[in-house]
Amino acid sequence: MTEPAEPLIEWKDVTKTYPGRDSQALSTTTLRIDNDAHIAITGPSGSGKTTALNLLGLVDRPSTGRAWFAGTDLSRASNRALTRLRRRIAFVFQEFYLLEARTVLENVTLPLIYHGVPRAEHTDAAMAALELVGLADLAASRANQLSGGQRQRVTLARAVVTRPRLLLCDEPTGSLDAANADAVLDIIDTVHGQGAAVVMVTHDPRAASRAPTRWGVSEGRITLGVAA
Amino acid sequence: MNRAPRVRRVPGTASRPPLLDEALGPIRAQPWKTLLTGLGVAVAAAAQVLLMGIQGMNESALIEHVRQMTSNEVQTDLSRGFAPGDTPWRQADATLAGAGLAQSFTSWRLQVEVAAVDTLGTRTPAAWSTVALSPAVETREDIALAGGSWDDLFTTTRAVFIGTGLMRQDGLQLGDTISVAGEPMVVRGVIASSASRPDLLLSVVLPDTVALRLGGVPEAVRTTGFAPPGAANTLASAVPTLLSPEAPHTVQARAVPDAAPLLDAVTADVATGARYVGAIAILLGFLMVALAQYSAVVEHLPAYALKKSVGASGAQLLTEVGIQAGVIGAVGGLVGLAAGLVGLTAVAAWRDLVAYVPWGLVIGLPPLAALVGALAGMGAAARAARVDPITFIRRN
Ligand SMILES: Nc1ncnc2c1ncn2[C@@H]1O[C@H](COP(=O)(O)OP(=O)(O)OP(=O)(O)O)[C@@H](O)[C@H]1O
Ligand SMILES: [Mg+2]
Repeated sequence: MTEPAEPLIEWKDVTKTYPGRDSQALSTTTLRIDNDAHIAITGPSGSGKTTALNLLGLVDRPSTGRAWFAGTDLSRASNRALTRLRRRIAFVFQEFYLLEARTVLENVTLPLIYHGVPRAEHTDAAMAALELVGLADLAASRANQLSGGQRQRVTLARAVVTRPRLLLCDEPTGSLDAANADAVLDIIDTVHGQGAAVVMVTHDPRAASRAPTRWGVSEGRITLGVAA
Repeated sequence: MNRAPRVRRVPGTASRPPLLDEALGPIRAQPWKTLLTGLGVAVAAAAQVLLMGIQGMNESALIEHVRQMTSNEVQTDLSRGFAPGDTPWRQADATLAGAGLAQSFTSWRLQVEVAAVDTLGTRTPAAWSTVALSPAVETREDIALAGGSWDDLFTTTRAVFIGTGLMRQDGLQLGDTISVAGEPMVVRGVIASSASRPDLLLSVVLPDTVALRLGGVPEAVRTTGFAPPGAANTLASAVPTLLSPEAPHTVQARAVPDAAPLLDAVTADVATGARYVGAIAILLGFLMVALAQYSAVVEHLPAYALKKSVGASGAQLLTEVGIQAGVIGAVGGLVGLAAGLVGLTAVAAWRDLVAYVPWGLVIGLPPLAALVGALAGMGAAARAARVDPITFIRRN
């Protein structure tokens, strides 16, 4: 065999201490996420799950330790390089943040604007993403006219429209009923099947059971390979 | 597969960069708010246009006014074979004096050959114009001599004067001999300055009697004198009928304008005042855009955080808000410009003045207003650019 594939993310002794806090919110030794990873993270409230997700998503910086994303040493990366790397990562949250006054299509198009995708490709790309989440019919509706399940599917469409390498989900089903939760989890599976690494924080055992890899977090420490 | 969505397409957007569209979105969505935000800039622009326009109108009115007040010189061209000393001329002169023309003298150009004469007596033909003057030129206060006195010209035989220009250009000097119509003449004086007759500064000047002998009766003569203050135009229009009731067209008379030095002093004062008012207005406009944009950005901070979380860079958000503020400024500038021009037209109609349009301002104002807007929006733009996506993510 040739040399092992480069991991998507690698951490060495990464910790996070929030300013004004005595204790570490997160403390790790080594951590590795491969390009085809599908990971569920569980743990009690306040254990550091969101903190970990923010660090993985490059929206926050570790207090100590070193981290690499797609081979780039993040401690040496310029702000510009970080912005570029961030564009390979998409977030989905428990709350379905949308620009309320805009249409579904406009919400899904938003990342394309800032990623510098030519305008001619916007509608096709956004419609393909809406197709994937089953909302092509509602493209012209305003975001504030949608149900909770529909809104979460729009945020998923917005997340995948730029074909990210990493999809980070923080309680994506936390505000949904079972039927809607299943639909959202199905979509996340599809996105993973299309080649994105997925890391999902969840309290929902059914959601966690869908991921082949499960991590637990307790008092800022991540335990790898916990059983569901 | 892809159904065409029912989305409103704004015409002409296809070629615009998507980021520009994103920046213009809120402006298109809320044109009245944009207008309100740009109101300060609009007021400043309108004030500036009005001030400069009114100043311009005042100036032209002032020029006209001052001209009529100070320009009291009247030039009269008589073209009926008048010759100084003959009866028709003396009658004409008396008529002009009776009408109030003071310090008047008569002059005409001779068509004779002139030549420089060197110490050996060699003649070199020259192109100097030759002008005859009546002795009354002595009374003129606006014509100054640099050498000699008028007596030297009118009482010495074979005397000529030259303009200071000839002295400088052709090296003529006091005491030089020149030849006029074949007769040797000596330069006895120099005309140093002449406000109303600059032609004299480049001429050889002869007494009228000598000129009559050398050149014969002239076809036309010019009489210039001073009317009483403010009466130059009136007198100039009356002169033709006074001098030649049956054929007034043979006489041409006009007032000579000369108001420039006084005007400069007056308008400098007015301009300074206008500049102060304009500067204060633009400062207020700047503050209005700055505050409105800043509060708009703060109000929509979650939206900017969201944009950042989907990949917007700080520079992109800075550009977006900067463009918005610039467009608000430009809209304000255009509205103010239009209002200012309407105001100017109204003022011109009301005060019965010729409308003056400050074209430099009309052309320069929209880009300037855009710049003011963009600069005013920089604080807000920086706030949007700095937004931390986590603060927004943390809200849950
Ligand atoms: N911005 C912050 N400033 C200070 N402390 C913070 C900040 N964010 C999180 N913390 C603290 O860090 C610890 C871990 O928080 P985190 O949000 O990662 O927990 P979590 O596992 O996501 O919890 P939950 O399941 O309730 O979302 C908590 O003690 C929390 O109070
Ligand atoms: Mg959390």
